Amino acid sequence: MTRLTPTPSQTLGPFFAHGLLRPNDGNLAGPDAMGERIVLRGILRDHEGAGVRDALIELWQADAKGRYPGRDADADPAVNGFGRTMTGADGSFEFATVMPGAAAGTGNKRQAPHFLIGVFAAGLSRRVTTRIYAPDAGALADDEVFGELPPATRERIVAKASGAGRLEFEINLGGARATPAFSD
Amino acid sequence: MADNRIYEPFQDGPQPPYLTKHYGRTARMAPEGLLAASPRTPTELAGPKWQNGPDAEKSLVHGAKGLALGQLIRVVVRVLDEDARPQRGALVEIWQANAAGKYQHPVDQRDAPLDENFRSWGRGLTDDQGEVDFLTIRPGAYPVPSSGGWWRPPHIHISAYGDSISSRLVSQIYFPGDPLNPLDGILQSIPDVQARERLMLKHDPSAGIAELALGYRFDLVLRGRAATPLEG
Ligand SMILES: [Fe+2]
Repeated sequence: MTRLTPTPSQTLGPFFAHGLLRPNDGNLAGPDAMGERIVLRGILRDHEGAGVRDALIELWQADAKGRYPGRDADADPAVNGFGRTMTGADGSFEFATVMPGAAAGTGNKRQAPHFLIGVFAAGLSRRVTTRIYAPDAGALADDEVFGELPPATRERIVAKASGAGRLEFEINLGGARATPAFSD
Repeated sequence: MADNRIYEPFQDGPQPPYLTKHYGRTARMAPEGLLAASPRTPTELAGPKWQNGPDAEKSLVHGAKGLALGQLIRVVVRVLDEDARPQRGALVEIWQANAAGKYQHPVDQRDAPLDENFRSWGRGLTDDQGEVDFLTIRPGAYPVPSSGGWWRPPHIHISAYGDSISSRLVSQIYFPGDPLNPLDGILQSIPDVQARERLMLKHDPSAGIAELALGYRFDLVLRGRAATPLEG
């Protein structure tokens, strides 16, 4: 049988905004979406701690009951599951969404509520992926992925509540508080 | 549902490393918190589905006052998985500079003309054959500011979403034989020469439009294959 090799990745570059972004792309939840509405705010920093501007941030998540659109037939039709936005001059970015529920894991496990984040930018040859978890200590203790991460660094991918309906996190590409990330 | 799909991690060689001397900007961006391979739970095995937009989104050259300037080309992109199966309903987006090598973007401050009839982006879904076609122009080369004489060769940026978030890919495609290709730090950041060749458009007259546009084809292979080998 034929086996093909995946096409090589190349950097996003700085000029993607017109090509990839439309005004509402950072809003994942329609007016009828079930669940708790939240604003998820992050900041992307380079090795020296400087905010990275003009990076593309992609978000993939389950609906309030842990169901993924396209995978689970009964997923909430008002939740897109996918959003994308770009970082501002200070490296910050924001999504309007709902709090995800506990999605199915491997076998019959459940996963702790989490967001999958993909980062593309000038200076990144490939995507950098990480998970950001909702601050829910009970669920985290049983999560199959979180439990495998180095204990010293895994709290870096737990978002912090910063007021009602607001979660915040950092993505540090390097330095003493580098974010645990998955190679693409 | 595709929970049995296999997505192997990318390897340096066929893929550019995060940190590469060919592309200086990677020095402060390459992730230092990198772990082993990504997990493959239902989160990574699912992904967004897309709606088709108007056909006009696949032409970059039909401006309000006429055709865009430059060499018109028709590019047929075919999206396949690692088993060579055409991927239907894949979202493919492109963006590029105009014929003068100028981007429609505030960050591009170079003194080069914009073309009011050229729209810098295109977008479409693949059909049953895994194909989507764009009508555009061959972009110009452009200098990278403060780089000591580096010019990007003509290239088209391309983004694709396949059957799951794990097959997501962003890349750039190039014109074979361009003298700037061997000098380009971004293209040369891919170590394997055969892999660099896979980013070259293929000239094919049958993909063109008579007396209007030259024809090119490009096969985009997204990560992902069946867990059980297919017969044949
Ligand atoms: Fe470019």
